[in-house]
Amino acid sequence: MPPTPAPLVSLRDVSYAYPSSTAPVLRDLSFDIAPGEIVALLGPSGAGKTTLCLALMGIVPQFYRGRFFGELVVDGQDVLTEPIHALSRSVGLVLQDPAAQLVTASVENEVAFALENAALTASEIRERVAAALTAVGLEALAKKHPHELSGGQQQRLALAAALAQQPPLIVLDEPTSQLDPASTEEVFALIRRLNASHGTTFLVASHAMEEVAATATRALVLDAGRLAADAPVAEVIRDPALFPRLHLRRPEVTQAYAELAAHGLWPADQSWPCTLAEGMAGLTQLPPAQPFQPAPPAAPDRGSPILALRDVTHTYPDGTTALRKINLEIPRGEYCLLIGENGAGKSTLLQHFLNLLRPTAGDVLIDGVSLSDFKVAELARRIGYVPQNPDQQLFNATVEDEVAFSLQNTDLTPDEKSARLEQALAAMNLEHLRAAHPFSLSKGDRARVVIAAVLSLDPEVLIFDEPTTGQDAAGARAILDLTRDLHAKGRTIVIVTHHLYLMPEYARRVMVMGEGQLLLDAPVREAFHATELLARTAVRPTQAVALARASHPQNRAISPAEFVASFAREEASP
Amino acid sequence: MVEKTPPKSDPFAGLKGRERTIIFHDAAAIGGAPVAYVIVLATVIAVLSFIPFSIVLAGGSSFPMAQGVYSLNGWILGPWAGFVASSIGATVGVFLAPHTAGIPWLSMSGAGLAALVAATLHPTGRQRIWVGISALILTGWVLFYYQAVLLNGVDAGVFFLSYATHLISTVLLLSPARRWIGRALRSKSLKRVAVGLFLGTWISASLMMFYMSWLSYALLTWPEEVFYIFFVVVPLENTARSVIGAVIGTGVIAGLRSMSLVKPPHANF
Repeated sequence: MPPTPAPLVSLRDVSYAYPSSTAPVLRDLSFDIAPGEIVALLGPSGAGKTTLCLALMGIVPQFYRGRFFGELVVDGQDVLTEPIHALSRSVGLVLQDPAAQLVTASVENEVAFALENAALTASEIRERVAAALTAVGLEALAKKHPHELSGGQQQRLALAAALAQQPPLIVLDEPTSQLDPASTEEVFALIRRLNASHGTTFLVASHAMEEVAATATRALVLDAGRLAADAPVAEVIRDPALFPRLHLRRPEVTQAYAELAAHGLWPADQSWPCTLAEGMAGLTQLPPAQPFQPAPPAAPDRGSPILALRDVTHTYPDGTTALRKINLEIPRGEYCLLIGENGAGKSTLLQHFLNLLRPTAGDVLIDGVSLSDFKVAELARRIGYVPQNPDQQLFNATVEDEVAFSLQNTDLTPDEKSARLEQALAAMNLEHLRAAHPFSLSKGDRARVVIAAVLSLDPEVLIFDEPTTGQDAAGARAILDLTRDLHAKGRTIVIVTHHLYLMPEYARRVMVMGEGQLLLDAPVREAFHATELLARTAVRPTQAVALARASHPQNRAISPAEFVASFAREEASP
Repeated sequence: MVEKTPPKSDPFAGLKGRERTIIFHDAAAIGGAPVAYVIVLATVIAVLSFIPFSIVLAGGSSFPMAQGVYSLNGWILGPWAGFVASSIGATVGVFLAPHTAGIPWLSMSGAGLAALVAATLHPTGRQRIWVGISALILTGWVLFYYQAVLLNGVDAGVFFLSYATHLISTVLLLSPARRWIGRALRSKSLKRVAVGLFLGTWISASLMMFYMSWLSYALLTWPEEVFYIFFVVVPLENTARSVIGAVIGTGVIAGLRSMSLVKPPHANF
């Protein structure tokens, strides 16, 4: 028998607490990772995933201090006794917030930075920089300043910087949380490719379950700092109790087949597919699907559009035209989804609604009045904006002060302000955190603080830019449920997201952007099934849509539940 | 019989691994403060150097908002890392924002001095650094008085009234008040921290200005009439610096306390 290779990562009874923690955030972790493995790190928000990622590079505990128990060895080095710079030769780390690790003034310098510090030759650095940028699709932006990139592009840049070092282990903490579906697929394809070609070991903390299922060979599941499961990824996903207990989301294909099995349409003794390919293959074992095409919801009829764009073009000072003659109307009380690839112009469009950018040509109207007639502060009371990065809007010392701040410049009485504050805190379940400093909270909680601050003004229109980024399934669902409640109360909702699988229950209308143009503006079902048009953008149909289309040409299901319904109805019919 | 309250369960009890000693091994540190912190805070100083914050016309140019934050580096980073961060930040600011630079070498060294003064406002008193700074300031008073009053004939009353703010700050530096301010900065109450920051910035920014005024006068001299303007300008400007220090400092300290980042060993907050 060939000798078993020494593990690349070895944890023995590892526990850790931050200086401010009252209890360990990692508890008695023991496992090995062998060279060449792709391991998924799963768990709900606050389970300890990011802490474990930081520990593999020694940042926890060397930089954060606190209390550390047990042994953690990476590539033969004890993370408590080796300097972080030495460990960085063995571990490449991509943080959840990519902007936090970008330090130079150009994209290519960013990738070259670690290589220069490792004293590689200039020719080697050039070669590696070019290869890494090509791998993540940023070669055309090599001269740009990192802060001119979109969130998704920054994420790819951080990944390129880690790849260029060619360490034996790359740790990715939510590496695709801000990427469009196609880029997400590309990143996971890149992981598979590097793993196959270079034998690079990956540890990937991610909520992108469809890609995790297709890429990882093994899954570690954390629950409140403890190891809840360590098994092949398919086995973990199929565990009937684990995912529901931890509020984790299975891939859509697994959800669909689990539900089919519950309806007796899939053999009980046969395992549920975990990847789309397996799901497609499984269709042959199902009874024929029925056409499924419910009528689209009626458009809200509430008078003139609350927001409108008339021939809006925007060209940035560097000559980049981000919007080209956009014409758009959003009726009062609509719930819209704005989708498109990274850099399609979505954020530029949103900033026009907020008067943060002015059109180079054309006009933006609110209730028929040009936005140029409004001051930003006036507009803030009518349009609430929750940005992609919540940290950009946090500056107070407590959650309560942060939420109350936006109420200061209103004409409300102190009692009304107090009532609004309490309502907003309660709506986002932040009452118990009111005295906490916003930056002491997790990213998901920080996002909820910003949403609460916006809600306190009770604006007519609410715009959410990637509100579910970094949230686990339960957190994302809670935020979207809130948007549905607000919509039911007559608010107009505009959401930008790449997480299309979350939206069928919520959105009524979808606007697809690409290359600065509005490519499609249609009801959600029609848009999700406009696969030819979506193929021109980086937006991919969800697994439920792909399964539905493969099962019957007229099957327009957009969620696992609808997909199952297209079979279950036949079963129920005489 | 005395009732015994049941002991609180220790959340760390029963952990299987042995507890390890944690050491920050990377040598990139100044006085124990990671160089990354020094770079970040020097950058903040450089950026704030762009913002003119003169409430009245004073020494021929407006003073930069950064002057209210030099002291903060002494509290966040400790004396030597604070000195480096403030000096480097001011040096970069001198080149990038000359409209607020004044006399460049004085601006750079004054920024470092402010951080050092701030670091001596500490519960332990930090005697060695304090003795050195006190000697420098007292020497400054003697030489400044000699040149302005005895050599150039400026009225002594006018001289002391012009620099009453600095005189008060000198007395506070020499008194036990500096230890009280040092303790206030460690208080759990943010209001007390804000008071400590206001008074601490008042002393350190004022002594920085005294140092710069003394050496500027030695280089340039100016007539007695100019001293009259200082009656109002000096306390007003120093109040502005102290407010900047208290507002920004309270937010920064509240944030740093809440986050689990490593605290430099000589920090005082």
